[in-house]
Amino acid sequence: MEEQGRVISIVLVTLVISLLAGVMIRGVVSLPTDATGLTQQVDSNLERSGVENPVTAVLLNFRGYDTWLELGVLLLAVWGVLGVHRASNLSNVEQTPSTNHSLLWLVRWLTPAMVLVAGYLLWLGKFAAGGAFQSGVLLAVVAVLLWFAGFRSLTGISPILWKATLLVGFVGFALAGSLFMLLGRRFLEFSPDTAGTVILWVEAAAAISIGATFAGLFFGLQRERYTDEEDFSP
Amino acid sequence: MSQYQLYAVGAVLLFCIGLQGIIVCRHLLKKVMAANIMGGGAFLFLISIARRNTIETADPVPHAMVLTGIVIALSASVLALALTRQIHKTTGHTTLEDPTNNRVEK
Repeated sequence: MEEQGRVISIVLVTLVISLLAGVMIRGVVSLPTDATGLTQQVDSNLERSGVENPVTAVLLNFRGYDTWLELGVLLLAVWGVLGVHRASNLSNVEQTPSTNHSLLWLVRWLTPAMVLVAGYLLWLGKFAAGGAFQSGVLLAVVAVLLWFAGFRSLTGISPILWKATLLVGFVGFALAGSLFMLLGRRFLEFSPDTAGTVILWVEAAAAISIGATFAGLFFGLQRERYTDEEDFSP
Repeated sequence: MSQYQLYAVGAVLLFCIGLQGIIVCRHLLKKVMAANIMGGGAFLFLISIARRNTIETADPVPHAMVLTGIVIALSASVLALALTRQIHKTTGHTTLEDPTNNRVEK
């Protein structure tokens, strides 16, 4: 009886969602086929943004609020994960040193190279695809690789330093934005002549925070290892 | 049908598959995965309608929004996974069914 009710509800849901899909596809097809959106507005203001890549200009300058608040959301996610585990830092994360020599060798060689590439990507954001996100993700991967290889340097990091790296993006962006308020501009409104420098610094801070956040999320999930008796089947 | 429309229609279908998954699947892990599929659909939709024009560059605003969105989606998924594990640890269930319900479920 209950199974029957479930089948009926699944069929109903499928019908409603198919209807929704139909409506949305009709909407997509009826969109104007040749629309430039905001491309022209971005292009005409690009030289006032301080960078040459339109995506970076939108992210860090024209829609700075988006990126700033996104860094805030990242902070909330880390606090959430740590809160679920009733922890305030990364100590006590289980970590077993690897005995795999090729992994250790690879990580020793890759780490400096990857940090270098992360810095290059950060700088590249000014002209081409690249920037704080790509760079931050790469930094997080460095941290995860180091963790897999069992280097203790990361989980032994002091809690204050770790929290500072988490906060530097959000706080740095807000400070940079407020600084221009003192000069009579609005919050997060950079002046065209200094915008390039400010954006590079903000991006560097954001990359560090994004890297620390993703690494923190990963380590946060590793806090308790699965045991064999932990059955995760439905 | 132009190329961007093909991608946009595919994005709509992905979104709907994800929505169906969130509603129908009971297992929380599947719900998290379905939410990610939905997010993937939304991102694909944004970057496909950014390419509606015939000029050389795509609209950078949707691109920037997707770049922001990917990062948010990843961190939200991790938080959801952490909560799922905690729910499983506390209740022994991987669903949000009412435990007083007569249905026998682990």
